[in-house]
Amino acid sequence: MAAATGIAAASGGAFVRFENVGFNYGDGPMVLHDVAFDLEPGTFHFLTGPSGAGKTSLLRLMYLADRPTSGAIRLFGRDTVSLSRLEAPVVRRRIGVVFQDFRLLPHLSAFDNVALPLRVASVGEPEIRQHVGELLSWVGLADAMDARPKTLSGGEQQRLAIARAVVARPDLLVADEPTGNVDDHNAMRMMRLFQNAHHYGATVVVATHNAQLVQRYGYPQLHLQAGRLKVLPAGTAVPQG
Amino acid sequence: MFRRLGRRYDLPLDRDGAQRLLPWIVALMTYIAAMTLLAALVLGSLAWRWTDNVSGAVTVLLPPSTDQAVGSNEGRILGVRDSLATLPGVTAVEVLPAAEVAKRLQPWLGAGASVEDLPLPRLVVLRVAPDRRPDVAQIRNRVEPIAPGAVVDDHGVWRAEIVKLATRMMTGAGLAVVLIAMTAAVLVIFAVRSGLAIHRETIEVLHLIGAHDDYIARQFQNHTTKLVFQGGLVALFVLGVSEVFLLQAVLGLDPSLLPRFGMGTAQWLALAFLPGLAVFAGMLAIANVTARLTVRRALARMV
Repeated sequence: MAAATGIAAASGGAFVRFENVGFNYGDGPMVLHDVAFDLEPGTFHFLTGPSGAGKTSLLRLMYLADRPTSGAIRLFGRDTVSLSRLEAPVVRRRIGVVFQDFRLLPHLSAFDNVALPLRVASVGEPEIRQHVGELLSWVGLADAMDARPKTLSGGEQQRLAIARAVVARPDLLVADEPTGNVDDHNAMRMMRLFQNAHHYGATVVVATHNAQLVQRYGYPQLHLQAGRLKVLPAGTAVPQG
Repeated sequence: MFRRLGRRYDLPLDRDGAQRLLPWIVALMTYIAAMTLLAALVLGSLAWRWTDNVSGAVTVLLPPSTDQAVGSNEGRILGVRDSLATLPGVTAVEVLPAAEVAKRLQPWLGAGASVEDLPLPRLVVLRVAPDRRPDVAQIRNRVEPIAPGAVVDDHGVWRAEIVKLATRMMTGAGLAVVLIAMTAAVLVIFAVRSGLAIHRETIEVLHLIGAHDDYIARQFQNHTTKLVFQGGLVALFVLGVSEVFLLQAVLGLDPSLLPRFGMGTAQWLALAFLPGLAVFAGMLAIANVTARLTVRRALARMV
């Protein structure tokens, strides 16, 4: 089952490994309890669970926005808790993130927003122009290169956020409720983009509470319920409640 | 450097209302600091010239005498002059003419006074070679037998007072400049901190897509340096205009009222431009380093 789902039992050298991770914000209650799983490279997973189950918290730990309160997280074979301030950005560059609220920079054009991950990695401008142009065409925004994010529709902003997340060819792509505020047509379109990234070799984790979407695509699930994680194999229906 | 300062920022720092006043405040501080430094340099130079002019000179004041036993007044004066002229290291001995003494006393005695009838003292000015110090004791030993009661003055007390005053004023000016520099640093810290607070979310996004602290710090550093550069340019312009006005005012004065500086054009130009340029460069350095350190420290507390 583990091989089929891409979720391995805790073993050395895993691509993404959570080891008995607990997490709370400040002095607040624990939002994640004893979370443990491994993701193999090149796999696709949905992260499911009701609102408040801890999906966003788990993703934030995965893209190094927060540190676990207890337990350990290993990404690409490296212990993230002991990463120095110089090392953390190097690991983060291997992770593409589609934030729930997009977090596009409003003062930058669509082109510059997508170019940002390449610029922080000191990629040369000719290469940036080429990659970003291709990416914007890929997400259907070739005609909106100079547009500011606020002039774009919700679906277009979402696609722009995806383009920014994948422009640096990340090894791990995480998306937090990317289909939450779009219609079915745009949701399908976005899923196709994630599948494309997956086919290029990225390990993809998409958080969603859209049971139909999970059912339609049938990828394995990391299911959170009240901060506790269960790994569900491909084709499993999203548990209710 | 200018091209680097003018580059596009990922953080919208150009739109910060909090930093809009920074160039103007910096301009004012740069101007005040440069003027303070300029005044200190002029004063120091003046004091140095004054003390330098008199440091190699000794004045011998010969009171008039009616005692025939010590000879006629003119005889005593010439005797003192000739005796002093033979001292080692002495380059010149000048007897101030009685008319010159009378002329110098005129302002105190009034235009109607007949100074020729007054028993005025006579002055003998002795100069020594630049590499020698006047030996006051030796001069006194030479003068005393010829003109008892003569006063030998090497201007040491006056010179020491002038040097003390000039040193204190320059120290005060230096402290003022240091305080202005510290205030500039505090100003930059507040401006940068406010920018960090305003752009906290954007900074987090930059971090999460893999930006190093250095990448973010550089943006604040370049932006702050650009603002300080603009303020400094304004200050230099106003400083130049002020100096032209001051120069015009000085040139309009009676030359006899002005001290002699004995400086060439190049030295005058250096005196006019160096304080402004030094403060300008100092402000840029302070802005650059302070902004960088402030951002680095703040980012170290973030995820």
